[in-house]
Amino acid sequence: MKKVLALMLAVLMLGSIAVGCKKDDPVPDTDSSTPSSEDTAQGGSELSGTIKFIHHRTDRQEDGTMDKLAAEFNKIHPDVKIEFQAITEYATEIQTMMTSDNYGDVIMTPQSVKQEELADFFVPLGDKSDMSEKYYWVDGYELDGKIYALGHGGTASGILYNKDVWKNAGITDLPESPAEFIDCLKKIADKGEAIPYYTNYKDSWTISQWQSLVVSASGDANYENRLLTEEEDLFYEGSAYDAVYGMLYDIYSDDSLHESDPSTTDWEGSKTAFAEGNIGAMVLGSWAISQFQEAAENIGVDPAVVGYMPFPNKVDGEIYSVSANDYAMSVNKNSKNIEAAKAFLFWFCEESGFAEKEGLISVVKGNPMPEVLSSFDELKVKLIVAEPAPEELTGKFDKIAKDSEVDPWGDAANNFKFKLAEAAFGKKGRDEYNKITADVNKEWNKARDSVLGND
Amino acid sequence: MDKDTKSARTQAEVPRKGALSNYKVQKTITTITFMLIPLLLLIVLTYIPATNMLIYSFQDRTQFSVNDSFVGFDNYLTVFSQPEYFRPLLNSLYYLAGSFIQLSLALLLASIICSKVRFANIFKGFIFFPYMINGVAIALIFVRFFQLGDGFITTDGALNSIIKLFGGEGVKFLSDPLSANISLVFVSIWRYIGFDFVMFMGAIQSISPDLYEASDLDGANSWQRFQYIVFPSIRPIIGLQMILAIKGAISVFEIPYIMTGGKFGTSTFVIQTIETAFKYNKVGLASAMAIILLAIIIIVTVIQKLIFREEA
Repeated sequence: MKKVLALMLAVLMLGSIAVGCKKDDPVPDTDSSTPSSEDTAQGGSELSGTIKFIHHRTDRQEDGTMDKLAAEFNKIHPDVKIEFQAITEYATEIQTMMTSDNYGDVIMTPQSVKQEELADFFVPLGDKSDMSEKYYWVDGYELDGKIYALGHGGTASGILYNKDVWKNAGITDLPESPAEFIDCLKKIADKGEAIPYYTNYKDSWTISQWQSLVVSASGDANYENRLLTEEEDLFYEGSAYDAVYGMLYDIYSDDSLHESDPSTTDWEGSKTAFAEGNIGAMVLGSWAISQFQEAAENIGVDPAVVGYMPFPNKVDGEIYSVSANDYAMSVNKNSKNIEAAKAFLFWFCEESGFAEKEGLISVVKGNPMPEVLSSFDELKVKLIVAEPAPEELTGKFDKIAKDSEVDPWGDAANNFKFKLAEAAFGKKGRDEYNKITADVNKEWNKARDSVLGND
Repeated sequence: MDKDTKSARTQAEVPRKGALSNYKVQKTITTITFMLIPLLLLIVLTYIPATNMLIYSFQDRTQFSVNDSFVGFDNYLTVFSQPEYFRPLLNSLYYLAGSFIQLSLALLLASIICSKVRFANIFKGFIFFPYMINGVAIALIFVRFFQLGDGFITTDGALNSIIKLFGGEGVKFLSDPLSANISLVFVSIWRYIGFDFVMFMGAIQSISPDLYEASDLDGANSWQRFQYIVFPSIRPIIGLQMILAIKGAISVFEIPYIMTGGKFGTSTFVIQTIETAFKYNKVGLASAMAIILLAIIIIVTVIQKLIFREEA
């Protein structure tokens, strides 16, 4: 939730700054004169000059990871000198820097730069036709057929689990359906050495993590758009919403599967408890992995106990997971050493091994998954990237969500997710589930019809 | 300013009548200058926002609204026609019941402390202390207090430890609508009783000792003394406290918002209003809810005033 908040703040502030950023002078001809980036990246040692990489990973700057990477890079291009600048409040400060020409050579692409403004700030990295075949997540950085930014790694949606706890409970194969997942939790409960599922219910934002499983459960990159164009109900037997929240309902209904008092849970404490082997699983985005690994390291536990699995739901025999990229990287169009900067960018994203060490998915399609996501390879999970809404539907999903107060991503006290959870805690049974979800459908459809104007 | 002093000087030259008007002018200037800043602050920080809110309540607008449209009484109709917007107001009944307990308890304690008790000042301090603690800290303390340990991550809070010590079963105080609301009301009483207590004590201490002496001579017992001397004397204060209690009960926010986030059926009308504005982005509707809350409080206050005026 903090992330979302920070993002909103950033967007807000940047909205005003971005106006100032816009430059009137035409895009320099680097555009046309740039040879295909691939060639220069492989090109080799004739590159020289000093480039500055501005990024947000202050933690990796301080522990020397970045300097080691620079040394690695210098083995290939000895004449390129790399300087680093790590910024804590990256999203806001980079915007201020971008009001001048002087914003380093390689930077993490701010999310606030609009797609149509990309050419005002950055040089193109290649043609869309070539790049989208080879790399994930490039579509959002396309302008006039060229790609202006490349992700340095990505995250997936799924469930965090403690490998040791699962192994001790005698579970060898990862679950492939919600029912199997619950069976696994029951095995952990029978073993009695850990809380099978920790809800973190006191912190309202945690329940929204379940929503990130929905598109994965549908196995359709276009699912959210399809809900609008095909006027599908959110909940019906076997829908993606039903799969995800049905599993939530079943887990929350069984006292032996979660902690005893859901309203006094402890988020910070749960990180340590997880590392100590007191928790079996939690539904969290893969952004949480590094925090849990850190908590494990802090108490001297091997961070490898942190496992991550996709939402166990098969669509036509395949398990899917939605992936999204972390910050992408771009090259400043005012850079004096554009070629060296590009070479570093491609090397950093493709070959540096940074993404793998951070537990991020590689931007190169077909590369093996990082260690923490090895279960994804094991289950042959198909990664999907959610399609943006077509132009006529932009913002409509959100508008319907708010107007209907169904708000799938929200955490207001009267949200349906809390109603479901509390009905489950109160052992109200499947009838209550059907009643609540029927209500959700009714409200959603009413708002959808009025927003889309087809009464 | 310069102009004023000049005119004051010219007027001063006219004898007697001039002196009077000079004083009057000065008085006016002083009054205006003293009033200016408080009035300015009041207008800028209270009346303008309140007027805006009233205007918003007739609009269909979002947080960063650029093209707001007037929708007449639609927002009010929505609130009144959909019971789920009013349901949280029912939770105020818990707090209202709690505030009567709180007032009687505070009155009892004040009467006891005002009769000759040893270490009265220490008790005063103890009773008033919770009122000075920050609400967030109180909420955190009491989440811990009501906690039921799960044997792995959290341990039993004070209340469940005591229950288990006497062989009882652990209770999930905050994980069930009824017990959660009662627990929150308990916290609210604990927090605000000090304020009521101090108000009552001040009122009781201002009663003239002569009355007590006279009643002693007449052989009144302590209940009679309370009934005929203390209670009539502090009646205005009781009336005031009751208005505050009702107003407080209708607009409860801090403690449930932090302790349970309004989950487990503990949402209140104010929580609902805030979430309508900032989580559902319906600022117009939320403004209408705020205006309705304001109207309820004004009505309650007027009724209260009328009743107490007649009795006085």
